[in-house]
Amino acid sequence: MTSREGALSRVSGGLLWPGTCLVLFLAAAGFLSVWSASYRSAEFGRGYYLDFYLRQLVWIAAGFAVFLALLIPRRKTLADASYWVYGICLLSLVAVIVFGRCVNGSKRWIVLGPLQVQPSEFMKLGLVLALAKCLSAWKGAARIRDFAAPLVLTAVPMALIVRQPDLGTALVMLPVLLAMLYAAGAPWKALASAVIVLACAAPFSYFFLLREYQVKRVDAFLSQGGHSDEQKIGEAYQLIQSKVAVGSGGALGKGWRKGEQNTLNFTPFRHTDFIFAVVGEEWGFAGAAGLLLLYLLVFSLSISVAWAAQSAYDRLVVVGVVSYLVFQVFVNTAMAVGLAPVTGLTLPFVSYGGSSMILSFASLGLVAGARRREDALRFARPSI
Amino acid sequence: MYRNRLLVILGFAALLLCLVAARLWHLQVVHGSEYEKAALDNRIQVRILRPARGSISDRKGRLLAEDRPRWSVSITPGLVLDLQAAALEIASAQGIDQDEAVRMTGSGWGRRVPAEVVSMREAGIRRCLQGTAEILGVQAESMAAAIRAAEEDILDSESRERVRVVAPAAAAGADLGEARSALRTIEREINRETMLAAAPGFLLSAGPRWDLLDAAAAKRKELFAGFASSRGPDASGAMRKLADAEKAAAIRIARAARTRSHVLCEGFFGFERILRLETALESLPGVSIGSAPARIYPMGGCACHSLGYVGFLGWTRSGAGEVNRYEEKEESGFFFDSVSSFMDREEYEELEASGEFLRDLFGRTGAEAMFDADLRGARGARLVECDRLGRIQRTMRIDPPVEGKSIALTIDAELCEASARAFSRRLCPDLPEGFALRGSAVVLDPWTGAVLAAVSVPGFDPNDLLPPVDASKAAEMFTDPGKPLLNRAVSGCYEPGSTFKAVAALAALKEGLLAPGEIIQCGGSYGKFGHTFRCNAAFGHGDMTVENALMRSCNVFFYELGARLLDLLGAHAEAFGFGAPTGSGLPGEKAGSLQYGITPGFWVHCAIGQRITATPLQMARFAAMIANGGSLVTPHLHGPAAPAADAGVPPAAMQPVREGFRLVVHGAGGTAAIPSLVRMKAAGKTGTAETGRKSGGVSLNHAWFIGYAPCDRPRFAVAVVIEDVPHGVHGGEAAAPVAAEILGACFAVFGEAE
Repeated sequence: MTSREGALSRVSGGLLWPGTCLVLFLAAAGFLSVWSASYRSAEFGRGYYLDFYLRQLVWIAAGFAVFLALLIPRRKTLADASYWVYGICLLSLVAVIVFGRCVNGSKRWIVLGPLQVQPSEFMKLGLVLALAKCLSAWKGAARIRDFAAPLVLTAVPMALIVRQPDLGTALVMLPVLLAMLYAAGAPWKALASAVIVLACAAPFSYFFLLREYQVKRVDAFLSQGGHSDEQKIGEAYQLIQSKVAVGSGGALGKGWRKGEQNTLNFTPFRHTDFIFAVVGEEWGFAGAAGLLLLYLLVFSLSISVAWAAQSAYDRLVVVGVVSYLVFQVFVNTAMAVGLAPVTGLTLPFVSYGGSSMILSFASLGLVAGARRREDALRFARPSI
Repeated sequence: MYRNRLLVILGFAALLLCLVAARLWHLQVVHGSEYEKAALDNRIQVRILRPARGSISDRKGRLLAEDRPRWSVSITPGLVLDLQAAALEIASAQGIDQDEAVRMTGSGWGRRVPAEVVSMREAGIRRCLQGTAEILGVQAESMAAAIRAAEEDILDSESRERVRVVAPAAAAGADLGEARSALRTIEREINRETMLAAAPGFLLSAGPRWDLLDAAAAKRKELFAGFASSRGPDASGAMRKLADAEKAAAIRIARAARTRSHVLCEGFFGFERILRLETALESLPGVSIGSAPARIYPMGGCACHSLGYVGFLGWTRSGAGEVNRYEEKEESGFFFDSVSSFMDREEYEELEASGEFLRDLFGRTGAEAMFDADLRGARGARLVECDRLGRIQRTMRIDPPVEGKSIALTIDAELCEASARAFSRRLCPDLPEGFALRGSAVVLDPWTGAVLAAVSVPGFDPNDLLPPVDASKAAEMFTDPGKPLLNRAVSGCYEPGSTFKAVAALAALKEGLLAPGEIIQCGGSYGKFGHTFRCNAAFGHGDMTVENALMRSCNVFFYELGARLLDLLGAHAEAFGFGAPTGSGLPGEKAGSLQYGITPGFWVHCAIGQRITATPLQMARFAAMIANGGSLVTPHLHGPAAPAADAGVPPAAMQPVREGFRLVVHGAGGTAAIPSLVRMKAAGKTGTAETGRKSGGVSLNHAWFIGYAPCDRPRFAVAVVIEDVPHGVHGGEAAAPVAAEILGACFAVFGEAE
């Protein structure tokens, strides 16, 4: 039945999902913010930043193409490919260790001609697919040995990414694992105790696991009551300036391209990691909270797709995708308002950057694809 | 199917986003205004605009002191290197991505700057120095030296800061003095090594010299160990604070070094050179040209003592001890008041700490000091919006500075010049070969009291005393036995000698103790009060009227008047302005000394001008009083005539004295019968005062001439004193020719006819 459907109608079916419009709306808001962030850059007088918004257009287009492409494959094709995708991502992580370029003491990138790719970004997607494939095989109550496979599937890429080191991206995988196990029917008591154990272990990581620069960032975050002089122009600088930018936006903001923290270059990394500070400054509480609401709508629509999904695989894919998107949105915005230490996580659909943009669109492509398959199912049945 | 679990997941997501939204509300709506102020503080800076000091001119408008634009060429190290270009260069050299290279070179949010950027920037700065030096014709090394001096300045203030931060902490356990001295030792050790080891100086390098800092930290640890062990656990806190302060200071220094502009060289360069530099700025990134008003004395040493000079406030001797004038002014709110219209106390304190007011110029002496309040003007400010690197984006508001008022003095520059030149041996052939004339001359308008000239010889060039002062030159001036900085016209106290006889004559005539035409016989000596007083003519002058006695300067005649007047002589001297400052307001003006006689013999001496001292200005004023017929004018350098006091001398008493003054020049046997004085119809009185000092066995006298011209309708009153002429040279031979030259200059300058 579904197999008879043409690829074109599958794509148009995905486009009909309201979530698609919202995502495009998010990307448009991000585009405007990146434009503002690159509009007048005092740091680089000759306009290095000036074309970021044009490049962002290219990334949005590429991301949307991927989104459309992911509407095409059938569930079986996708499910069968899951472990392959996971394997390829894992291989590329190993390749990073061997061929990766070392920048600022961490190896995260692979260079492919004019492009450089951050495999750890795509690893998130690979992990979600593999876990969905693995967990959809669960039947009835889970036993202890059922946990072995998902744990190994998660631990291997996490270890490779921590080694780069890129703690932020590695940490994203934990909520993905937890949420997917939960959605797959793992006993909630077991999960709750795991969460408690992790929470208790977190403080120890400060002493044993974190590197010096990470410890300093956490210190800067924890000492928000009163920074030392050294912190003010060092680790806490980003934190302080981002808070000042957001706070000075007030209720209604200073207007597009009118935020001085932005245009006069006080907000650091504002087109990438701290784009939310630009949003908060120029659009105020109304804009920033509105952006959060937009995300919540996208998440709700995605969860509703999972709710309606007939197949466990589809449902789990959606849960996995939503969990890392939620985690990234939360950590990124919380960092910009001083609720979380500074990490390098981007704001999906809004931050400047190719890997992040393509991954975000691909994620939602999977959700829309799952939704499309349900529709096809529903509409197809009466015609039997 | 665990569908409900999906709702839990969604609920959890909603919770997280609500948490962020709540925080947004807290930041933006609840505390929005505070953060808005913080954002303003980030980008709004106050740039102080300094006013030009008012100019000082003479009575004909010739400029004696003025502020001229002084060019300064500065460099802002942060602008020298185009970071984008640098990033691309590094990217291509190391084969890394351009975005990442930009991130790396983005001058860091407190991160260590890559060594490549440091060396590229240093090379860029060297290029700028070289280029600027070539165009301006200045030595590149001298610019590097200027930068090193600026570095020292910053270091000094930084180390002061460190003492402030650390000393209280260190002293928590023990006494402050010990802690301070220990810290000072430590600082001395660290400062040099940390900061100055870097060539061409840390100001020019791109970031903190971490390597040097780390070395210093190790050194500090070692040095502090001894201190800490003697102090116990309290010291470790101090040490931590010291370490923190030091690092913060280093970062602050580096940041200041990058974003501020530093003066490379200053001077009154010609417009042509400045234009050439301006066209070359394109190829000298980071170099900028500015101009600020700077003091200059275009006529050099002319009227230097009346004019004075400007300098910084600092320690000065006052009364018993030394006083820091700067701190005094600072505490009284003098500086704060001048900027309070555009900044609050906190900003002011920051500005003050930066040394802004330490560089303020104040009039030290002369007119510069007298009229300082008028001349100095008021600071203005420019409120500017700056980017993160401190570069100005736009101007928000300008409070223009108020230029200082210009002052026109009553003196005539040409006359002052001529008066100073008149102190020359050429005019007084009786003086021994090689005798350097020292002394003073004052010319007054006898009717208004306007000072037409007041010179003190030797003089100096006030330009030499403008900051930055050449220490060796200044030391030379201060230690010169001729005391060139002393304004003898008001600060020199001399026995007036025979010129004071006019005081005795006026007093006696007014009191009726001497009748007009009364004859007193001079036998060459005068015995009274158990003492014999000698006359200047060994065998006596014979019968003397007061006119003749003044003409011949007969001592015996005036001994007799002194004996008749006694205390009354003192009272009249006081009425004629002796023993008190004249009210000219010139800094350093002395009162002279006028005691009341312990013995009657004192007054006998006093009547011929011994045992009493007066300043040349007092003598000129006295001459003016005789010239105008008894009105005691107030000498002044600026503004309208001050009210004159009536000395209370009736014309009948004045007439014989004026006649005596005329005869001194015109009479046969007058002590100042010089043809040029005769031609000018001058009148006056000479004086030769014994100082009691000797040089090479010859006793030294002061030679005097006071007088006025023309005698029928006086236009100029003059007093001339020449210090330490050897015995045998009299006022008529040394001072009168000088006075004649000066009066001649008066007529030349102001015209023969009225």
